[in-house]
Parts: sequence; C-alpha cells; structure tokens
Amino acid sequence: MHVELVSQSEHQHYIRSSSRQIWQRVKNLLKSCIGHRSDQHLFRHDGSLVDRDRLRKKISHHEQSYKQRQKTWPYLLNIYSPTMTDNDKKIYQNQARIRYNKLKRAWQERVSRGDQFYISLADRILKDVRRTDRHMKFFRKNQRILFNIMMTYSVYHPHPGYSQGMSDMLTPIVYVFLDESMSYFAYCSLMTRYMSSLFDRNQIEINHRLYRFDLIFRSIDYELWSQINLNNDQDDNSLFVYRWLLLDCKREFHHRFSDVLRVLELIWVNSMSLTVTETDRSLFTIFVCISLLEEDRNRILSCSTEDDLHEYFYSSSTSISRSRCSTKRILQRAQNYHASYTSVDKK
Amino acid sequence: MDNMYSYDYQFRLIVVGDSTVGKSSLLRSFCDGVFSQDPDPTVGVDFNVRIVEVKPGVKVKLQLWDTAGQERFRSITRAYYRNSVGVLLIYDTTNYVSFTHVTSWLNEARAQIQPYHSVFLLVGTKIDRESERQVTTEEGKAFADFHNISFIETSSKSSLYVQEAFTMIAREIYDMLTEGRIHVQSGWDGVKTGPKSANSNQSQPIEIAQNVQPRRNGCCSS
Repeated sequence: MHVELVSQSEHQHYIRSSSRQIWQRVKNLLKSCIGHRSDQHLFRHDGSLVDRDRLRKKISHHEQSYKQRQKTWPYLLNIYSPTMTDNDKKIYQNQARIRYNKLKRAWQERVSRGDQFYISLADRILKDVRRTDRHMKFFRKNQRILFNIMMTYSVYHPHPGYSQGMSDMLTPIVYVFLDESMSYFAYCSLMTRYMSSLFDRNQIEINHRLYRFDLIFRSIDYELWSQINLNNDQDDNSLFVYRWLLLDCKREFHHRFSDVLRVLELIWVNSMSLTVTETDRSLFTIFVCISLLEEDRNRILSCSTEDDLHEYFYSSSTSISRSRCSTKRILQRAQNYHASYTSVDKK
Repeated sequence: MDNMYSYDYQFRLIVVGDSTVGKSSLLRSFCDGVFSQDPDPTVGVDFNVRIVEVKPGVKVKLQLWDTAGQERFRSITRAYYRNSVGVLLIYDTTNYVSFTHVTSWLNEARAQIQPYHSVFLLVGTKIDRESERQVTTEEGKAFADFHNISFIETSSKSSLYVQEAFTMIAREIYDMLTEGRIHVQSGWDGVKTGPKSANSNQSQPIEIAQNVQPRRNGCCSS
C-alpha cells in the first residue's frame, strides 16, 4: 500500500516533469521555426555572416521581409563577402559611392558636351526607363536613379551594351537597396556573373536556354508539352517562353511586386552561387517556367485551338489574376523539381 | 464568347517599326479600346486579337503579332514574318529618324515573307502631337506611293483612324483573297478559314474565285 503510494507520486512526478520536458522541446522547436525574427542566427555581433549556406537555406525556405532583404541581398548578389563586418560594409559603401560618382560624371560630361553617341544612348534608355514598372509609384518617382544606373552600366559594358529588358532587372534591385551607388554595383554583379550573356547580340545563350527548356519540359510533362507543341507546326514553337527565360519570369509576376522579389531571390539563390556550373545556371528559371505552365495545366489542356493557346500565353490577365497562393505553389513545385534534379545529378 | 468563334477568315498580321514609335499602344488602342501611355517595352513578341467586318456579313479575325523594336530581338521577330499575310510598318510622325528606318523594315519584311504574298500598310502615329510633327503627311504619302503600298496616319491617344487603319489592311487582304491573288494554303498561317458558323450563306469557299482577273497591277511582294 505504502509502496504503491510512493510509486504513484513518483509516477505523477515523472509525468509532470516529462510533460515539462516535452513542452520545453515544443517551445524550442517553435523558436527554431519562428524565432529567427532577429537575424542573430545569420550574423555575428560584428555584422559578419556566420555561414553562406545557412543564409541560402533560410532564403530558400522562408519568405523574407523587406528589411531582411535589405540585409541579405548584398550577399545574394555577391557584393559583400561573408567576412565583412559592419565597419567594412560602411567603408565599402563609401568607396562605392566615390567610384560610382566618378563613373557617372564621365558620361554626364560627354552628354553635356553634345557627344552624339552618348545622347542617343541616353535617349533610348530614358524612353525605356520611363515605362518600366510604372504601375509602381516608387519607380515613377525614382526614374532619374534608374536612368543614371542604366546609363552608367551601358557605357562601361559595351558588351553586351544596352538592351531592352535590362531595366526590368534593375527595378527590383533599386527597390530593395534604395541607395543609387550600391544598386549600381549590385546590378553589375548580377549582370556579369549571371545575366549579361543572355542579352548578347549573338543570342547563343538565350537560344541555349530555349533549347534546354524544351528538352526538360518534354521529359517532365509530355502531355502538356505536346498540347503546346503539336498544335503548332511552325518555327515559333515555344517562343512565348522567350521573355520568361530572358527576364527570369519577372514580367509574369510583376502585378504583385513582392512576388517578383520572391521569385528573383529564389532564382538567384539557385543560380548565382559559385558552386553552380555555367551550364546549370539556367536550371532554376527553367523549372519556374515549367511549374508556371503546370499551375495552369487544366486551362492549357482545355485550349482547343492554337489561337486559344496564344491568347493564354500573351494575355496580361493571366498574370494579373494570379493569386499569392498560386505564386507560392509555383515556386514550391519549382524547388521540388530542382531538388530532385540536382540529387539525381549527384548520384 | 460565341462571337469570338464566329468569323469567316483569319488573317495574321505583324506589326514592326523602331522602338517607341507606338506599336504596342496602337494595338492596345485597337484591341482593348484604351490608350496606355508608355506600355512596358516589348521583349520578343506579344499577341493580340480582334474581329473586324470587311464587308457587311463578312467577319475577319485579325491575329496581331506585336514585335520588339530593338535590333537585338530581330532573330526572334524574324520567325513571325513567314506566316503573316500583312505587315504594318509603323513610324512616329514626331520622330524623323523612325521614318528613315521604314525602308529597312520594309526590305527585311519582304525578304522574310517570300515566297508568300503579303500586304503592307504604312502607319504614321502620334498625330495628336501636331506641334511636334517632324514628318509631314506628304512625305509619308510619297513614300507609300513610291513603294505602292497604302498609307494612313493615326493617333492611339485620341483613337483617331486606329480602327480605320486595321480595317483598311484587312479589306485589302480580303480583296486580294477574292481576286485569287492570295490563297489559303496548308502549311502557311497567313490566311485561314474560320470555323463555319452562324452565317452559312457566306461559307462558299473563296478558292473558286481564282479565275477572277486581278483588278490592279503591282501588288506588294517583291
């Protein structure tokens, strides 16, 4: 009887303590899921980055806030190295400003001297900058900054030189960085490390992307692929996807700008890292394109004529009506494809 | 919806010209009835559709391919010439340079479209900005006459002559079709017959009109 009592109280004690332990574990788990609101897991006290891979994982799995993007995009776009402290970053920012202003002044002088080459380039860029993402008040107000950066980039990068569509890739950067000179260097890095070959005059890289898209799309979803390609017996097969592939699907989401930021940062995480080989840089974008098509799979399969397909691909209402959930699903599916592709590759 | 699917023919047209002459605005004005100042620069190609009546009871669906003006995208846009029965050559009446480039657009289109026949229409845009005009109506007219093509000036902003421009080229193509100078051909998408629907009295195949003598000489291709 006595023994029984002891064991009962022990038993109760055990239950209480174990439930406390379980509760503690749940709390820890919750903390590890939600509790990284402060970025203490990513950065050290001096502002340097703890680990590039951790940053990459975090961006892959969690949508970031605007403030977080301001901190992480410089790493994503490779203008900060992980070891840079807050102090180093300040020095870098100052130097960037001085260098950028010098570069900018040089062409501004040429323009004011009436150099025809610079004037006509400025004219072309101004016309395009004015009509890039003008549905956003932010860009209507900051056209000058967009113009200055685009002009400086084009003058100092004659290969590939200015191309329409380039300003589309600049707006997200300016929107997050806010600072003109930092945006310039981030943009240069994006172009040089990842995108500029797509704008080459010889079109080799973009054609390669188109070709690769076609191969992968066909192997992933033959039914959908044939619906699009077999209804269409001309040379312009799947050229609808040209803009998607050239501008990393940016225009396909640009009616909700936060979606654009999310799409691009995921593409950059998976394409700009130094471990990704040259030929695989287009992979993630290709998976986003395929995932986009699969999201609208039933609609595409129900198209009975080539015209219906054209109307689907080129109607802006397709992207306007896209919900946030739909964007999330598209990106998740693209990530799954990418993960399974790369794991097969490793084997 | 029903209306969308009842038409007698489908013509495929391509719209070309320098960057920022107003190709996309012209199409938006025609197809959506709205004027969009400074639409996003076209990258590659865009697509629009609208049905017009070329004569009472005859409906034609116009498939309109909007192209990027910048040279860099030429290799993409070139693929679209071959299957077009009509070409709208656009220049900006307030930008003389864009007018001087029309010749090269015309030459390129002709070279790409061969061996098929096609109809050209020269379109000057932005005539609402009369005070900034750099190309006179006479200059445009003279160019069109010299190359034996039709000509019209428009304003997408005030939707002036926009409708007329597209009806004009559609009628011209329709006339050539009835005269037998253009045919519906398999393997070519320039002209297609529509799904035979509501007006069955119109569904007489046009090919039988081949024996009719051409009314005018000197058509457009080469």
